Amino acid sequence: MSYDATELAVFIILVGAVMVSGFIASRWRRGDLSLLEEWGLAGRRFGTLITWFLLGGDLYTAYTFIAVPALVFGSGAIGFFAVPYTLLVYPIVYVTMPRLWNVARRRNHITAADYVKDRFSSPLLALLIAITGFLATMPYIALQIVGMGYVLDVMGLPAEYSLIITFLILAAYTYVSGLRAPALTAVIKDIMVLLAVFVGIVYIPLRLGGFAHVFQSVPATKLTLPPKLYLDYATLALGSALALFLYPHAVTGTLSSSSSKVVRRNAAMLPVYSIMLAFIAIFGWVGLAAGLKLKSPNLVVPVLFNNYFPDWFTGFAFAAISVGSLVPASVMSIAAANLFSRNIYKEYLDKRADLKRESNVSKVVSFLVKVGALVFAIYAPTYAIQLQLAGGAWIIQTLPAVMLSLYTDKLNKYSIIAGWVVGMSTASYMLAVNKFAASAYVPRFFGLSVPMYIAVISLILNLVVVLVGTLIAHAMGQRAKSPILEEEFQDQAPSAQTQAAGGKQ
Amino acid sequence: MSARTVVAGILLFVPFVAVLIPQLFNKVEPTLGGLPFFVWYQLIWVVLGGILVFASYRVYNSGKVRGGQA
Repeated sequence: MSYDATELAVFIILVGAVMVSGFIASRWRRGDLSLLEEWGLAGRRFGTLITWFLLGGDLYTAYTFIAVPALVFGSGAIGFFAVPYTLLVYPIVYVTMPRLWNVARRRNHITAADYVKDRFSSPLLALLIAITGFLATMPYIALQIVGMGYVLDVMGLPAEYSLIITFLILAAYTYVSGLRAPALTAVIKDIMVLLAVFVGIVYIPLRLGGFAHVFQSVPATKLTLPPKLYLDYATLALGSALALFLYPHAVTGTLSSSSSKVVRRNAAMLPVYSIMLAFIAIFGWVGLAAGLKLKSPNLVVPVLFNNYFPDWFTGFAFAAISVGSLVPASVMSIAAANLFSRNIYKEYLDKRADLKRESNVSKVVSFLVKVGALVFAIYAPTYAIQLQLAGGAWIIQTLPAVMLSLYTDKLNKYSIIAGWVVGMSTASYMLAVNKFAASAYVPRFFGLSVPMYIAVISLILNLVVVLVGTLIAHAMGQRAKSPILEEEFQDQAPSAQTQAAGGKQ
Repeated sequence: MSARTVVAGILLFVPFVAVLIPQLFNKVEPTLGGLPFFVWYQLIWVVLGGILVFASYRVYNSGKVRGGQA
């Protein structure tokens, strides 16, 4: 492919501008960046709007622009599972995250592993949570790298080299400014993405004769699910929804907000993202209607923009997709780095590390995580979405320790560790059998003959072990008391006022 | 559990039933604005899901002493 000067110029200027704004961001609402809470959580100061943009980074990523439409384009309706997935995220966030925010604030937790260590008085369980988060984040970052690679590919650039250059810039700017950089650039990124998607979804179907014509041109078999995929569809949606807010970057985004109220408000504001995600998924069918012949299904959105828009707008849209991959990759790598420095480095390698040292380790590790992700990216499967789904199958195994424990203190920690071992090993086994190229598995041990999402199969096994183990432990009189009290999960201001008022009367 | 908590919980649970049973919406007709039923049904639930979270929040907090929350 040859490149186009206008397209490339617009692309370079816009991506460059976002990068520069990242460097400037390090001076924004300045705190002492050498401290981890400042570098990694921006001092827990983000209000509703910034938090919304930051959490949007979890929903608007290369997953949205590249991976989901690719699956719709290649496999039809099954790819639309991303829509029920993101809409089920809101009730889950609403129920769990405010409680996590409250307890984290009171006890200075920066990561999910910090909370777990405190909740169960178990450094071992915390280590397992940290390792899982670290591992599961890498393929998710890899998805961002791969996604941007496809954009550069369509622009005619030698993708390998441009990727490395862009990622060095990203690494450098994350290193200098921490979470502040992605927060500010997330705002710019979302505005660019909203514009590109909105214009694209209005204009391209119009050029193809309207939505009715688009969907009439798509083979009927790609518009609905074959019955044997019902369970796969449902478990992909449910498993992905349960997994999303267990990822370190989602926890980071939540904990950096300024109150549990901000978190709740955000749960009700996320639909804006899901609507856009649904429209981007529709691009998969639009690509089919346009009769695209692609060397990879992951190219569907970049090629559609390239074919139907003038060069300057394509350059703009490509910049939006690229920044939309870079910003989440940055948030993810910071979150994984925080996990490493606090819950692995400080806990096991250098117990006397001070905050400054911890912060420095985080910065170095956030770079190493990106390098690790680059390796995952090189071995990417046909469908980029499989990278994210593999990460989901791992991270979901932390659900009993991180989410269930927000509501009950009765779970036995050794049972949770055993459940994790069973969940992680079965998930990894099934992923390996599929060579990491597919996320569905026919779970013969359940007596089923239809495929299910691996994350859900292994989570069920995990939960069975946790419950049976806990029952046995209780029967044997093993009941550990959690150091965290129920009221520490609850909102401070209203209940404190109510109590004070009640006490005076 | 109070009746309020139960209602608030049910409101949050409804979307799971609505979108995790593909038998309910796995068809092309009737279309809406050219979109197959499979697509627009789930699009509507994106919006309803947000509204239900908000409704659940209101129901759950309706009995509490006002402490700065609307």
